Amino acid sequence: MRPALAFIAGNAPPPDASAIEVKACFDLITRYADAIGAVPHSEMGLTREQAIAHEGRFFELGYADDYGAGVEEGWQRVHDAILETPGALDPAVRRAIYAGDDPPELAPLLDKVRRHAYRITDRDVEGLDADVVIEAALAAALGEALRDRQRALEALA
Amino acid sequence: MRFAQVETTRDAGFYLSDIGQALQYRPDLFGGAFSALCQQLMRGASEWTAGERELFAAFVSSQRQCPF
Repeated sequence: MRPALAFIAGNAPPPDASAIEVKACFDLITRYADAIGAVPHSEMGLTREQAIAHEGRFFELGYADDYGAGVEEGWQRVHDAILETPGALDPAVRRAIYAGDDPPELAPLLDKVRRHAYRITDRDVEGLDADVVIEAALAAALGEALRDRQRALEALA
Repeated sequence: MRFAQVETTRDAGFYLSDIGQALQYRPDLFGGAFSALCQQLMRGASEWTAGERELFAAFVSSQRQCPF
């Protein structure tokens, strides 16, 4: 029986890793979205019908053409891309942020990224280079997401 | 969007959500690997349907008080 149907029938299925993996993905992307100030359709002038149509097309198309090579390797690729791709911040700095050791000038912003990214405002990034903010926020968000994921997977084991 | 340079499709003549644009911006840094991972986790083989997994995602976003 499919787990959702078993749940409805009163037979809670054993926990599986699917929810943990989805949570890790969205722990990362939501923190990133809040750091860069991404706004929802409703604030872009779309009507409810247009937004539903847009999401419907997205649902059909999916996230990518490529399914990747496996979950662990997929996470490793995300990890390496965020921490090792050349950019505005030295990879050593990004690796330190990932581990929780922040440069002082970015510490207040990254504390918000980790604890409550929805509270980030324009003032938090004032005077900072956009790519520095993006790379630092991604490194901090990845660290939080993967540490939570690891704890949850260990609890399931 | 807080940073104009991330608005990759602003003048492209079609609408793409802010999240979509964020995934397009510097795809080697984030969007490329992340989108492939999402495709696998959200659309790949699972006991949960794609819709159920999207519901998990919406719940996580709501817990984080994020509108996505």
